[in-house]
Amino acid sequence: MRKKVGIIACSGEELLGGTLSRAAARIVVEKLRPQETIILCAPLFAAGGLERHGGQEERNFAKEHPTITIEGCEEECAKIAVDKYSGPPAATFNITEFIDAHPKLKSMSREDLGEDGMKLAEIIAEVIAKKVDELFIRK
Amino acid sequence: MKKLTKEIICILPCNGLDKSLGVITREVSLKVIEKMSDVQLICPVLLNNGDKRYENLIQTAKIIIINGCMTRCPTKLIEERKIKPFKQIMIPDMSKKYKVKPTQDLILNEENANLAELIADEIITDLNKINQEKENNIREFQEQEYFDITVDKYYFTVPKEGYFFNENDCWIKPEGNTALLGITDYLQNAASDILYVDLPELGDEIEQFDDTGSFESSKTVLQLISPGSGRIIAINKRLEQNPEYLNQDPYQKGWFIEIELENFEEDKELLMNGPEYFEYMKNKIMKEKNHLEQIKSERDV
Repeated sequence: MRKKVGIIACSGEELLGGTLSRAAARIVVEKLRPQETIILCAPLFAAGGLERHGGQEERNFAKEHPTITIEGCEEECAKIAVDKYSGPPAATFNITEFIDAHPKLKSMSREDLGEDGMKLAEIIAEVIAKKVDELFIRK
Repeated sequence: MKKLTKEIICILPCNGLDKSLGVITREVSLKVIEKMSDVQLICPVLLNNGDKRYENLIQTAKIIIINGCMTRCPTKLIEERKIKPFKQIMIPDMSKKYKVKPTQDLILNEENANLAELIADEIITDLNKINQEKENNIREFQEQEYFDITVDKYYFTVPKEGYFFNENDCWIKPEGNTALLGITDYLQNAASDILYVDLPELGDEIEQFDDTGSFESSKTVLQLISPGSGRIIAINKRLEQNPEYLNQDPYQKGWFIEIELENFEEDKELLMNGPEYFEYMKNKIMKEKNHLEQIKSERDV
């Protein structure tokens, strides 16, 4: 059985980049590469899982599987967390670079990305999906 | 470390992405901060990374935690910092309470959005109740001694201590690094029965002598000219329903706003204390009285 790639979005709530990271992660996992990827929950990763489950499910997954982090801003919360608990991530994408590269695709708000924001999330998701493919080829 | 002087409410959702319950927590918190601009959001992942921006905040603020599932990630993050949350909400409990079963969809659908709306409304109602109780109880003024003078049928008072005044007949009452601001008895007498009050916005930065809100009587519209500079941390919302407080009790119940002081020592250089303002006010009243009498006598001639 092929190993899955973990996708972990910063999920940041304070900024637009966090919303875009959430949307892009879901598009990859639910639409573009559902068989090859699994979503990891950043807050769960940070806090540790249920005690009765050993508390390390997400962290152990990222130790044993390549994991891609999607960062909403330069704080790189997801990368820092993966690095801290599981080792270096296989790849990191920063949403702000995509926002800068596509100035015409303006998201509506942090709460609602709107049509252009969703288009941008699709573009980001496509790039991440290609990285997932690369990781599979490498293996 | 800068001490926060005003009680701050923060909301810390689990914000999870892999379960619909986490998505609901995010929606709840966004709805709360959309409707209550003074509530601050804490991002759990950023908090976990030890971001310094939350260091002071989590020690002083009242934290409302919204847990999506039994893993209770945000609770763990707070408890491991040895902080007791103000309130904890579990989405499954709320789902039972409102008899709305959340669906498993990771994209927010109508049912889950409805549940988020109900939970957000409950939090907002609770916070408004707390704010209201605080407003009703917090301003307990001590008995004050006044200078007073009666001119014709008008009675004017000036607090002897604790207040400072500008020449625009507005007062400031500093307490530590915050201060209450309002209008003097002279100004309320000049306005006569006050009918409407227009308060400034919470959070606004004001400079000394800025026009900081207004009030209207049947005779005139007058402004509160700020005797101090700083950030507005409270407004006396009760004045909107009870503008008569400005006439009845201008130095206590009729306080206008509260500010976090910026540099009161500097502001004070352009202000008068109680005895000085009382003399200033008396002169002003006598001049006006003489002026009116002169006009009257000229008219009679």
